[in-house]
Amino acid sequence: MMAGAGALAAAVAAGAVWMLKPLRKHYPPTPYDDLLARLDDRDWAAKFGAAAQKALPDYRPRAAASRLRGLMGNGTLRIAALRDAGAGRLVEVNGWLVPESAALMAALAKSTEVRAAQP
Amino acid sequence: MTAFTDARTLADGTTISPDLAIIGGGPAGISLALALKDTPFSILILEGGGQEFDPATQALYKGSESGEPYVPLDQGRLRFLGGSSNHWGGFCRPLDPIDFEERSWVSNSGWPFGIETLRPYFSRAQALVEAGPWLYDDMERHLPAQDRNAMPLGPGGLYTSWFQFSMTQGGGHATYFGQRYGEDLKAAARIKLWLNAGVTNLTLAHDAGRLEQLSVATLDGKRFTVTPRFTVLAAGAMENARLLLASNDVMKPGVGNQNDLVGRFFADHPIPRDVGTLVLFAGAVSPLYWNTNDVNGSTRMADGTLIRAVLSPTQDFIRRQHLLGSLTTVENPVRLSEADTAAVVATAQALGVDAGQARAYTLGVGLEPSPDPDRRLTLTAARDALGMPRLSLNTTLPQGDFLLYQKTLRELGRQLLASRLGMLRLNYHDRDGWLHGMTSQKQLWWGNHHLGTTRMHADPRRGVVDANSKVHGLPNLFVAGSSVFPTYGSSNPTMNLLALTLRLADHLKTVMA
Repeated sequence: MMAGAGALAAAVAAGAVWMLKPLRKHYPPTPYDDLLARLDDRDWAAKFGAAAQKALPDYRPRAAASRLRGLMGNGTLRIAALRDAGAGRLVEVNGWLVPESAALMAALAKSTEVRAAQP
Repeated sequence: MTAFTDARTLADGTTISPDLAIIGGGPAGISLALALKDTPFSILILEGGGQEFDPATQALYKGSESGEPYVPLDQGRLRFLGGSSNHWGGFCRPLDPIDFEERSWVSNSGWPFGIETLRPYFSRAQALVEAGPWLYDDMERHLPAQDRNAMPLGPGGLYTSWFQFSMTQGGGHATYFGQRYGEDLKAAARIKLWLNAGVTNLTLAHDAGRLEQLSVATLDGKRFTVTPRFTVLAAGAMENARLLLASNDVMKPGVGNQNDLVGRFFADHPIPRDVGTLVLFAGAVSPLYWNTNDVNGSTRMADGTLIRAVLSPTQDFIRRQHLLGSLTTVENPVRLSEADTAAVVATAQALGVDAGQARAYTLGVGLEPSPDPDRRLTLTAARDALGMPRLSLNTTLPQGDFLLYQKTLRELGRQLLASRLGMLRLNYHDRDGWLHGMTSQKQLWWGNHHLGTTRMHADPRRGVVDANSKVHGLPNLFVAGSSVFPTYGSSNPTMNLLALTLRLADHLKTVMA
């Protein structure tokens, strides 16, 4: 009856990534590092980011970052995401209901991933 | 002990005059007779089938369907002693108080009384369906400590509610009323039961002021007459409507149909599958929520009571959001795609939760349908083997009903996130999606809960029967069963219709005395 073996495997793999990240993962500077620094793992966020970008109306990185700064203030992403959920500020991404701040952060992570990949 | 009588063995032309004739030997008819067994009234139950399934008898139920896909009319019900309880899954849950209220956002909603009127009968109805002690309202307190609050959703629009399951003595299946109570019927001195006795007409007095006689027929050509003082129609929502409409020799529109309501407002619970995908970050869902196709798969409490957790909108949420009722169930495990896995991991990360043990499940739902006069049974020119006109059912599936449920699912998704328990994906967004959910896995996903064709309302212009289940305008004809439900709720109807039947029995004791 146990389900989501794929999710489990991926999540376990993600756990390993999270542990290794401080040792080997470096990102080029972006205009949004004040926000992205509050992510534990930018790579997983970026994997979700393309879908999040499509789900956010008229997505533009700068406007998204501004909106996210407004939602997060100086707090953590966790606090912002919980505040979003409490207030019903959800974005539907490929059917998944996610806190707006989580969707914005994932979208920014994807945007900066593209930037980092360029020479 | 009085053995049942196979009507085919009676002399053609037999006439019998009981105090009470009950048309239909299903849960309502049997329960009504047993509730009256200690009264001085002679009772005759007219069961249209035998004691076992018989294809020729079942074929009397054939009809035609139009509109949205619906279960063929001879497949969602059974014509032999015990009626459709003979394929019952056993799900029991009382209606909610809001189900009885007139809701401004639901046209034609509301009962002529509140749940308080039925509440005194629930414990006896629960005993009839053998679903154990009444725990619905207080289940958590009866669970082992480790099982309590198994999905702590926190404040919001949905909460964990409970099914209890009918399971007959000895176990194995739900209460099949013919098997379970057959000996009780035989032991009741004043109850007679005719098998294979199909009622084909309700004959009114010339002034249409009262019901005078019932015409009964068998498949081998016998004809009988029953002249009861009182009659209760308890043949299910389809046959109740068919018999009333077909009995048009005195009242041309049919008995009780002076306001063109008989057969209208037919309803059933749509139970679309895979309406959403539930992910729980911490791992497997509690077995209390597990999918059970029947009583054998559900969770058994220490005293043997079978239960299953289900997610219901609160009444306050229904009122504030102007929703219909729904019961969302956790169904089957599902494997997520890579993209979906990314959604889960990214969201869990945002919430500061470890998703390393996350599990995903499909969700199903039982939806309360909105009352719709155009969801309707009518007679056709085709005739069955007893000469009765066959039925045609026009089914509707209002998109609005699904969209209201979408609000409920969104709230569940919000609560999962706010409580950091998990997250939810909405799997359908348009009519085609919902229809896919209704027709997936080569099945038509309806509850086979036939409701509403002789709806109850104090005003004869808005209902076929009054608050006592008496057909408007006729002093001696009553209707038992879920065909009188004017608004449906999302709960499975059997236990509720039995409570209503027991209330009718009390009323009959008074009016028949």
